[in-house]
Amino acid sequence: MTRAQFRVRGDLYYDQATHLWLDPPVGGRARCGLDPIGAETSGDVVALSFVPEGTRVARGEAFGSLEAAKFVGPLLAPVSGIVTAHHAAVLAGPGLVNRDPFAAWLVEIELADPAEVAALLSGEPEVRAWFEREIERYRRKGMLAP
Amino acid sequence: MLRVIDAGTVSARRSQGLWHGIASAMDDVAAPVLSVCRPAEHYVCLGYHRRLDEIDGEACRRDAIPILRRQIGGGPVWIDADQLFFQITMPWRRAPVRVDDIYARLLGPAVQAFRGLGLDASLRGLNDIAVADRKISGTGAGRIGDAVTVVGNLLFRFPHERMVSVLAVPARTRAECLRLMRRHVSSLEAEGIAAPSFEAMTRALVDAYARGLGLSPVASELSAAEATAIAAWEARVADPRWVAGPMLPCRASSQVKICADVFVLTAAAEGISVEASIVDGRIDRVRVEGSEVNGAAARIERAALGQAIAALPEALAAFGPPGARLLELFGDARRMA
Repeated sequence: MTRAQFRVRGDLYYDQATHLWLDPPVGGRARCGLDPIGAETSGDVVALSFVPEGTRVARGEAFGSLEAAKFVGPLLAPVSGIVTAHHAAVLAGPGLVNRDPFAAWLVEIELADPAEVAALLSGEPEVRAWFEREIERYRRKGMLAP
Repeated sequence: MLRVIDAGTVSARRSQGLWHGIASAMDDVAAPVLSVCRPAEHYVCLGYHRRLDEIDGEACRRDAIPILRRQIGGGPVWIDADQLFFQITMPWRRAPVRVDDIYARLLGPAVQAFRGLGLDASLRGLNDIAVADRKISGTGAGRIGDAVTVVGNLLFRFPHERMVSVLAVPARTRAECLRLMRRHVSSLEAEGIAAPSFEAMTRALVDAYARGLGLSPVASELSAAEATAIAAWEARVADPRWVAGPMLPCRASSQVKICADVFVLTAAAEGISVEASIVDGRIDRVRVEGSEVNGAAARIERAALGQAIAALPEALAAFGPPGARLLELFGDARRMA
């Protein structure tokens, strides 16, 4: 589905505080990445770095950092777990985050507590409604093009 | 309230630790802080996502130039006592969401302060403060803990030769960086402005930020929490493990950014190498070499010179596989343009 200029995927989980998406877990592991609004408000991403594979992170802790226009910000884990893989293509070409946010997964996390996934936003109607509210909120503040 | 912390002349480590620590210690409800300081000694400072091997470590050892790493973006920069640092730090929940808005709101007052000196200063690109196409103040920003901080340095004088001497680039590239830096990195001295005292410039920045943010300035001391955080950051910014930086991939090309919209690209792969200067999205100078260009280097250079980066696919199409390979080498430049 598409909302405004943003493509939205209703089959993913979303951390509303950080605009990160999380794949439905398979075998206790899930990939996460920035959603289109997160990518748009970050600006043109020029660099990414992640904690080493095997690092344990708690929900809300940094699993890496992102740089756009000389601004460096942390990437905060949407769930607790162990970082088991980095996306090499996005490290080599960070612009993929802006070009195709849903293809640009960042890291894979082995989940410590599956219940944390259930606490994220999911379900197509709910995701669609949230995106619409977020787009409207950002537009009112002049942060997204009308 | 705008807390103002004037740290005066400080060591290299303190000049970085100061604002990292203030940001680290800031909570959600804290008042914004404008901090200023002047480094007492020279050093090289590397942005968080830049590889340490961009710096000529041997030259730094030989000339006793410390290397520190900051937790905000941008490339390697030369720091010395002829610069005034200013940093505005506020809770991230109160800062603009978009990066471009952060710069516009939090660098606007600095631009006004510089204009008060008689400089025709403005924001160039997202975050350079420049006089026409000459950078007068380098800036960067980041979220540290629960705070957003935007940092800048006003250049009273700038030693271009020393800056390029610490770059790990071939001599020819260094010479080109120096040429562009002399043209595009300025200073109060180079602009012919009678430099104010650091104290007067600090007062001008305080007034401009208070006015721009609509806050009353209050001279302040560091809190105990800030002092502790600053001490920790002073140690961290020079810790060899921190200076080594995060794991970053090797890239086939490298860019030395001179200022907004001006950079030097060097890249090599599969028997072709290119060094190009990109100014305002156009090829300002270019040199192509290698066994795979089939004697066409001079023609390729003529075809590329003056072209907009966006027009390179067309300009290089006539050169077959070498042209296509060159286009790939220009990949990072095309993304940056």
